[in-house]
Amino acid sequence: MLEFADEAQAYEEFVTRYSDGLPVVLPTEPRVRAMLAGTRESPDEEIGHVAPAGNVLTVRDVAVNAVMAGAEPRQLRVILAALEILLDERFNLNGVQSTTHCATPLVIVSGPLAAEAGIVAGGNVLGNGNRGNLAVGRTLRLVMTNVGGGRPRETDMAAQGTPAKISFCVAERLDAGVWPSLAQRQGGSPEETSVTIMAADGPITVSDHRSATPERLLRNIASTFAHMGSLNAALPTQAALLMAPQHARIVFNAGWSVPDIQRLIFENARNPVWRLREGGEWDPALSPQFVKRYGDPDDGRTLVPVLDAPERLIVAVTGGDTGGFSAVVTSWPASLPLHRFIEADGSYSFPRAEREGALV
Amino acid sequence: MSCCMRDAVELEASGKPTTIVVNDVFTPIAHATAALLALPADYVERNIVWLPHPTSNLSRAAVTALVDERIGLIRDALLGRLAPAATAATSGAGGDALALARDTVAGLAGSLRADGAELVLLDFGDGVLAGELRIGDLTCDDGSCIMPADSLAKMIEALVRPKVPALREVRLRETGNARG
Amino acid sequence: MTFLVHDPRGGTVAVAPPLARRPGSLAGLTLGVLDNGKEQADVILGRAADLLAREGVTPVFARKPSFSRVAPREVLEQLKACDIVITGLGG
Repeated sequence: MLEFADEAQAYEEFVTRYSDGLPVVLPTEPRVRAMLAGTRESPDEEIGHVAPAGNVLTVRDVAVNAVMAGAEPRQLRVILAALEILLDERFNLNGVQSTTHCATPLVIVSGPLAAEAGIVAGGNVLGNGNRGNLAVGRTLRLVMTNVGGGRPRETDMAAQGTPAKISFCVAERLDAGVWPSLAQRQGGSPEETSVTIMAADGPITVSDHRSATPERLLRNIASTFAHMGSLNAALPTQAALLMAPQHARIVFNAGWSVPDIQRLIFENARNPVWRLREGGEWDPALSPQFVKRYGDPDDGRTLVPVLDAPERLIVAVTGGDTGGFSAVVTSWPASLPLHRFIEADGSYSFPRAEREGALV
Repeated sequence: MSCCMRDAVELEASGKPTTIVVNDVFTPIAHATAALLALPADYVERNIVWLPHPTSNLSRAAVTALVDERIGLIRDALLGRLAPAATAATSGAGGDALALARDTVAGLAGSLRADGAELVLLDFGDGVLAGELRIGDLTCDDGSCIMPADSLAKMIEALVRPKVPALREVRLRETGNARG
Repeated sequence: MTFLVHDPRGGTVAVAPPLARRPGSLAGLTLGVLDNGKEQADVILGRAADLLAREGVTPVFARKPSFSRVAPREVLEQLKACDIVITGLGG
């Protein structure tokens, strides 16, 4: 425990040294105890080591930072699942924390427990006013900072960063009347809830109120995925589409499935080699090697996708019904998107509750 | 960069002296990672050779020239002979540090003055910045419009330390009228 | 009067890692060159290896598949078979 002369002094220390730049709630013993009611796990249970510092993270440490972020106990199980993902070696948190890129965790909560946890799936989901969403994202960032030692301009070398580093958390709409949820496509039953995380760029808005066919709509979205400023353009990996319910219905009502969406984006979100050579992150030494998978790297007309396979597009329906605005999220390539399931009774138990097989 | 240093640490532990050649934009992360990994204080100076950033947009010939200029440093680093350069003193003299600290808190002092209190930094020595918070005719009845001296001291420490790395502690004594 | 709050930083144990002994001279040594693939790293390290080769070292080249990750096991084992190592990135 840290000791201060009074609350004001404690607050000054915390908001200066241990915050994300926003006000924090002081983690007093009663508050931390109340937060720990949100899990059945023992407070001393170790989740792993947080890069780059490598400090051990316990359930109690998570509760402390969750209190600071303004989270409620009902969000704790989502937060614990998210942190287990971040500490998975395949996620490469060390890289995400220290890169000069803006990479930050995009958290997608899919399933009935999202609403129970107070995480918004509807209107303005990516914006302000979503207490649960913001608390989840802030807790992850506070753990990355306070336990992981990821500090801007010291160990976090991000040149510009992104507002999404404060928090980037959505729940999936389960009532949009379209295809099975992300959690179900990951192998979960309708009662189960998954947490999926991808190391992400900030989102790009795609506005489309004119398209009445899947092809027209998805080609618009594909062109946004293919923009030359992303790392995906020169290094195909994974990406995420946060799809407006309005857009999802256009696609679903025409009889299309998620694999159809993934295939169209994979085929159409591409750049010719000649354009890649003239701008962006094309590396004459490295890039031709993976272009070979898609065609002759010496032919300027060879088209390079932003995804290295169709199933690498994570599709989640989120947002309100007031308009046709989807979000394109490209990614940081040296991290693998992962998911974890939270059990139907709301418990989250270690070790890993991951399903083998499909990652997205 | 921190991945580079972790590789280096593993190789060192296996008995292989490792020298890192990297752009100087990574200087802060090198020091921070060295601290996190509990490496000796002079690890960075003795084992990293810096190139001016950026290099990704330079011609092959230009990059080659940069290496040619520094091959002596690389050789010295591998042989354990790279001497830490004399670091330029950042506000080494106490007087410079005090002036810099006063400059840094000028805005803060202005808002305190508007509420009737005077922040005076008096001395910097041995890492300690000493000053007084002189309470005058406050704009509030109960003294709550002026932060307590020790909280203010912490705030000043956070503001000044990035500019004056030698700063260890800020001590503020409250004088003048009693609050409230 | 004291005000107590939990420490948000978690537990920490940092143990100082051992550093290797430096050689007296370079002649006759094998020099592991770890290229981690960022721009120009191959040019920079290649040139350094060329120049050091003139002083009697034998360069052995290894390349990381990704500059954003620690080197894979096989690459590190390859380097541990050398006497000294240089690595780095451009950027």
